[in-house]
Amino acid sequence: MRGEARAGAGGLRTLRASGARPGRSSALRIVVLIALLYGFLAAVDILGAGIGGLGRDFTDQLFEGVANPLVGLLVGVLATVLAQSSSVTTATLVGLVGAGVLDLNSAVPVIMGANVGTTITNTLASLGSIRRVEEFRRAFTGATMHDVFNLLCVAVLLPLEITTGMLARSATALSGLFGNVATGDFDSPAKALVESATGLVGAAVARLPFSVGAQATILVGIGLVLIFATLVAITRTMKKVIAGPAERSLNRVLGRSGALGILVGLALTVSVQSSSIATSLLVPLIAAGVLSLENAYPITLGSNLGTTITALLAAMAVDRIEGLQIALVHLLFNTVGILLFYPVHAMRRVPLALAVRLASFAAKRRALAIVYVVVGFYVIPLVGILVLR
Amino acid sequence: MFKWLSASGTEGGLAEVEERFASMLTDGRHVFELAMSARVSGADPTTIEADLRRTEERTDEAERDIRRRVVVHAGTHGAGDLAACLMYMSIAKDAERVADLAKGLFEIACTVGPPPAGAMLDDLVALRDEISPMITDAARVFADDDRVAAHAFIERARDLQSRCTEAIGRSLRSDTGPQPAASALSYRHLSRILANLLNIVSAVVVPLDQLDYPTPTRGRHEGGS
Repeated sequence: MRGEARAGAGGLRTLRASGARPGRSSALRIVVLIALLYGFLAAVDILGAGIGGLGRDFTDQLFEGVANPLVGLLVGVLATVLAQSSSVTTATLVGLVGAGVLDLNSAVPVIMGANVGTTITNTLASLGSIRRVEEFRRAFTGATMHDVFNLLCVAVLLPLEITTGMLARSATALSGLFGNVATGDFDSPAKALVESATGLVGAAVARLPFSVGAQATILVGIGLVLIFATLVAITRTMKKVIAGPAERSLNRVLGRSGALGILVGLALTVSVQSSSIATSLLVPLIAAGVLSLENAYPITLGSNLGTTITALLAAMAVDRIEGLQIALVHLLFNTVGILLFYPVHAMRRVPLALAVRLASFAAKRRALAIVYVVVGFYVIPLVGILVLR
Repeated sequence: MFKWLSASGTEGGLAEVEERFASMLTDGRHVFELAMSARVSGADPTTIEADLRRTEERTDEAERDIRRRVVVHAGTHGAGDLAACLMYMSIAKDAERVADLAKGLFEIACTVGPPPAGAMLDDLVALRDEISPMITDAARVFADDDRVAAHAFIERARDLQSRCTEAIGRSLRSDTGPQPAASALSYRHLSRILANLLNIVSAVVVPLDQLDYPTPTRGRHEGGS
């Protein structure tokens, strides 16, 4: 009897079944996803409504410091690091710009900062290998390749943007295809759909026995919480759904580099609405030596591009065309970054070589990897904001 | 169109791993048959060497491919499939060893030349005929998750291992029999091939922590006497 019980506790059937999870029907998943997307768009609209109610003086004061591009950049980094999601930062930013409280030019460095800040997640994931030197070297290289790429893009494109307004101008021109740039009108079909939900929430908050300012603050809070919650829920739902396709795609690109990797990264990130999830998925594969740095690089670039979908979605829920323009800036920034650091082999080598050097250094003095994360992602942005604003 | 939305995706990757694993054992059997044709049937090693080495290298690459796929699966699906991933890593090594040990039999044939004569040859031929189908049977029993067949397989493999052990003793004690060292080594390789097949099939009936150790606690794991 004892033997039978023991045999029943193990064996192939149990091992194979260990990962089986109850699956939802595709219809239910579609309904859940549509509901979550609706909730996300409504959240952006609620945020805009709340911000509008705070009053011009208050919001001008709140975002005064962001007029300095460096402060804007650091705010973008810190906000993303604290939220652990560039999607939350960019969606919120679209809400702010779309509500007219933050102008497009001031928002551009913030969105660049969000790109940098999002790299903390896979860098943290790489610290999981810190006890094994070679594995850690590979993991840290794979993670910081993303950091270095984004920092290089900022180093090249932020000065260009400050001097020429290249990205903002291009985004403004592009937005003309979807709305009236002169009047700022933007008739998104999604906007009409979410206005009823915003109206309901707004009416409920208006009944509360608080001042108009307090009610607006509550709306802002509801918008922010809802943005975060819906994005987390979309990510969790889609992460389970895409596990199989992600596995098949990664198996296909293991031994290949090139545009296919960019498409895989793009598709993964668009699916889960999170570049952090997609790039963190690569870290253990790079650490194990299964995925080479050269083959992981285009997947990372694809993830960077894919993460711009969140801001574009959020732009569908805002009143003003500037919301769409900042979302397009995000798309253009990442597209130009890929064009700068991917097609030409010598340029492609730059972020990879820097990441390899950084990881070699970190592998020799592993405590410095933790210092890099703390100082680079928390201390510098925080101190920089306090000093420069 | 939306079928992918309902799939958990758990089975897909491991199903491919299992296909690769089955192909490893098919290749392992081919290597074994080529090697034994040189060892006991007098086939010219030079005519089969290229095929044998190419097939054996294919099992090496299949093992590496399985490892990569298992790492990707673990990375994309998290800890839920950890036990299955560890099991595939373990049995892929066993399947690779089957082909590698068969290659060892071929190398013995290359070294000693013509097969041994008399009763020993008959015994080796009989063992070849028994073991060869067992290599692909192991894949089938594993794929079907057939506990009854697994128990039968384990019993049969242990009996054959005992025969090999006795033959090794006879060869080592004999100073007049044909090719005593080569024969002892051949039986040793056959016994090791059986041991690796046992490891694979034991995955059907024993828990993960007992893989590779199916013999000493037989009653406990298999519910046997």
